[in-house]
Amino acid sequence: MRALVVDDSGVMRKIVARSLSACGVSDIAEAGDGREGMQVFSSDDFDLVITDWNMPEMTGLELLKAIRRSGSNVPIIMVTTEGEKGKVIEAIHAGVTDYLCKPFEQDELRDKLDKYVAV
Amino acid sequence: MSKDDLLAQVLQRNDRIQARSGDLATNAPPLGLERLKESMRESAASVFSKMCGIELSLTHTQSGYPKTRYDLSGIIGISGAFKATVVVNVSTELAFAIADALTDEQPTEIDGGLSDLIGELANMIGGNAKERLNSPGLFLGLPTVVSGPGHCIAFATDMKLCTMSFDTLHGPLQIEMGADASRKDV
Repeated sequence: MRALVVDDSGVMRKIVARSLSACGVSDIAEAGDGREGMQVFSSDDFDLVITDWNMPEMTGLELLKAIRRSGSNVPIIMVTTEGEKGKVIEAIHAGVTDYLCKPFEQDELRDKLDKYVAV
Repeated sequence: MSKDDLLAQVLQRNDRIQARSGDLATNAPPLGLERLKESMRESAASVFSKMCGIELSLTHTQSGYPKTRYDLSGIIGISGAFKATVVVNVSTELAFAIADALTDEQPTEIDGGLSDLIGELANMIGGNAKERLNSPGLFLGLPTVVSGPGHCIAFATDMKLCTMSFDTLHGPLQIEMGADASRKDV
């Protein structure tokens, strides 16, 4: 399994990557914003994308829409501080697969990732 | 997971947060500094406890600037229906403990990685507090980090200020808040 982690925070990328490793995923690519994320996604095959929402250059929502426009059905998990109903609905309409609001306990993230890693 | 199930899952979480923060109570204070203070206190406690396993203890609250400032500050702005600036000011020893808890790394100095961590911490506290404010039309900016001994941060002169001081087993923390004083309810 190959996963892409997109977040402008290096710390958050480390947290997600550490959880992915704990779930048995070692092939992990990282990107610091949506634009870079789309470039990395387009250059390789990925089985899972985990993205933040609020990032400079290109947001996670824009990245999500761009990936869906490309025809990909890859599972995309949004990990974000944006938990308002309107925002969640916007992400669902754009094709998000799963959603995790910050702050979260590390076990919550691992449980969420496990569902997609196990597939 | 179906779209309906996913939405229900997130909304159940929101209801739990808002019920805990008292926003569903009929006597919730109006959107202003007092409500921001309460939201920030609850949000900081939640972020530190959930993400880092660190419990916060509020030692005191004062109006205005803090007497001293610790070495790392994460700054986040709230705009829209209510304007506020929040500074999450962290002691170096606490920042080291947060890094250990979040990333299993043991930094020995303030560097780019530690600054990034404080920025993300401010982002999570601000984002979670915005949810607890439970008011439409609020927007959160991207975090900025300032570091170094004796660094200076000045709020806009038309803001009403407040500082909450916390202690932890790993070192102290302050949360400074400035809210737009032109609102009648601030």
